[in-house]
Amino acid sequence: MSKLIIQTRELWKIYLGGTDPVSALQGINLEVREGEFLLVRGPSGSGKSTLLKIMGLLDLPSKGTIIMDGLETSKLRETARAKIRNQKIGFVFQSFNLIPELTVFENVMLPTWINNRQNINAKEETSSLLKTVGLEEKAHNYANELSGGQMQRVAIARALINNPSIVLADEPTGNLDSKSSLQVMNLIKRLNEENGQTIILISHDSEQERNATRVVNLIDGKLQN
Amino acid sequence: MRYLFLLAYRFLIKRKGSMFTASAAVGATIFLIIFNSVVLGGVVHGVTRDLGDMTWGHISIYNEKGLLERPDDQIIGHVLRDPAVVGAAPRTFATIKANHTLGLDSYSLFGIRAMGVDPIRELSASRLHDSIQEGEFLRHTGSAVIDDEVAKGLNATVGSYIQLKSISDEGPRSFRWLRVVGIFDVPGPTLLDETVIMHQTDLREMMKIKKNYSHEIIVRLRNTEETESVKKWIENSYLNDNDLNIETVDERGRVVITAYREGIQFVNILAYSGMMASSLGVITIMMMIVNSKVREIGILRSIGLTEGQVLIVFMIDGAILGVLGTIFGAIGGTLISLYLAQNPVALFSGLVPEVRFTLDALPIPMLVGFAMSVIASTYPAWRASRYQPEEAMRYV
Repeated sequence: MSKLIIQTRELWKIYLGGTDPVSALQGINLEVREGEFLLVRGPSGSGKSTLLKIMGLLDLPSKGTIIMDGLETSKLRETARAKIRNQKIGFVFQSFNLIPELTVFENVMLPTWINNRQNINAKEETSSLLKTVGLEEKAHNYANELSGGQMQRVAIARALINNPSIVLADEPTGNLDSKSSLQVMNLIKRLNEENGQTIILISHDSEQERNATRVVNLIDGKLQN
Repeated sequence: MRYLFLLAYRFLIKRKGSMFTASAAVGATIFLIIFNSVVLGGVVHGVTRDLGDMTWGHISIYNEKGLLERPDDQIIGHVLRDPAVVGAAPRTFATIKANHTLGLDSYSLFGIRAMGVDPIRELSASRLHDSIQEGEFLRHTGSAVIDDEVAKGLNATVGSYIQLKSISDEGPRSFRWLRVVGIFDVPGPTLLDETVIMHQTDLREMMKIKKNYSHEIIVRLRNTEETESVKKWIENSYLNDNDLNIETVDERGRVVITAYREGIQFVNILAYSGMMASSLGVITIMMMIVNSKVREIGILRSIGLTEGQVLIVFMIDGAILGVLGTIFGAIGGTLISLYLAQNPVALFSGLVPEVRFTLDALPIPMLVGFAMSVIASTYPAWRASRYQPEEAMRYV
């Protein structure tokens, strides 16, 4: 059996902003193993994105712990969390989240710069990834000159450039047409199968079930099975 | 580190309007400081020049208790032996009352100054003759040139006869009639306002002063850089003459020049205070830039940029604004200074500032302006660094 790569223990997220506190996550216990393709499914407002952001160290839980590759992350300083985000996690968001001021090539290469990998290899890897996602022709275009599908493929290339062990994808096809959706999902599936990267995919689309190795349902902040 | 520059530059270049507005705010202040230091510095040079040209020469030899104890021709003869000296002239002073009658009307001025000069020596020792606005400079006894304010006060013109009467504490109170041959107008603070210039022989006779005795000798030099060495040489020549005060124009005019210098320092303080306003402009524009980039900050944080690196990105933006501002300000300040150095313009008092532009005027304002811009961007950059990734990425 492959090793545990992410483990959450009694994970709670309570938002105190409004008149009544809202419990977005209610004691989530989840274990994800290396190489798994986990689909987290659930209706809108069930807490899927909150769970993904907390697992991706973008947000802090109100209570509970996340153990990543054996490391208890809740006690880490922000700089160490940033380093983990850069080196171990790749994010793919529904709204692509590219930097419009940078070209496609620069967007993909950005995580390597942050990781201090400013060498020829990084450039070659960027070119190779752009080729993999079929966008080598668009390398010097600015991000906002691309279509939605192309932007998402750039985002996937960016997520992979530092060869992270985990890829977190939050509704990656939510803003795409069916053809682009298929391309993007095939790409994510290939990553899992060929590179053995752990994929945690958030979706409310039951179609994605066939790509996943495991499916969990999140309803009202609680895991159902 | 290079990518932080790239991000900072790209963030800024996408907001060219804000970038140029903030740079202009920094540049305007630097321009003002350079303008002040060069042009107002030129005012001090101009005042010193005019005091040297009109009032005290480059070196003034005088007795603060009254007349010089040596005959003036003896001192002048000695001083002119130095090849650095182009002219030396005696001057004698008295406080007078002046009257002028025109038809049935009589005009008088009380307590004005009479200055007795040697018109021939004066030509090489001063530039008083250049200040004549109407008529001509003094040529011989029996004539006078008067300051334009005296002319107005006495309602006198060239050709008028005026009566001068000594009211000095020292000496007898005799009077003299002189014909006005010229009206002069001196620029700025040359201390020659309300002055009647007359032949020294007339003044000496009026004041019963012995021939060849004066209150002051002014010395004009070929090159003002030699002032100190010539002064030293004169001092060494008259070591035993305790009555002699030998001072350069800077020393003689210290009260006037210091007053101007202090005024200029005050204006400079105001200009540096203006930097506060510029820094508020930089803060406001940097806050606008930060607020427009919150989402990008979130994205950058999500892929591993630390709080410190976000801070650096926006501090670099502040530094870029500072560099642009200092370049704009320095170019503007240099151009206006060079223009005014080539094309002197008279101020309201008639004083023509002697603008001398040197590169020394640039580094301090540029450094201060740059530092101000960086310091002003600290708060917006800190605010940018405080955004948490999840919070920032929700921002639309």
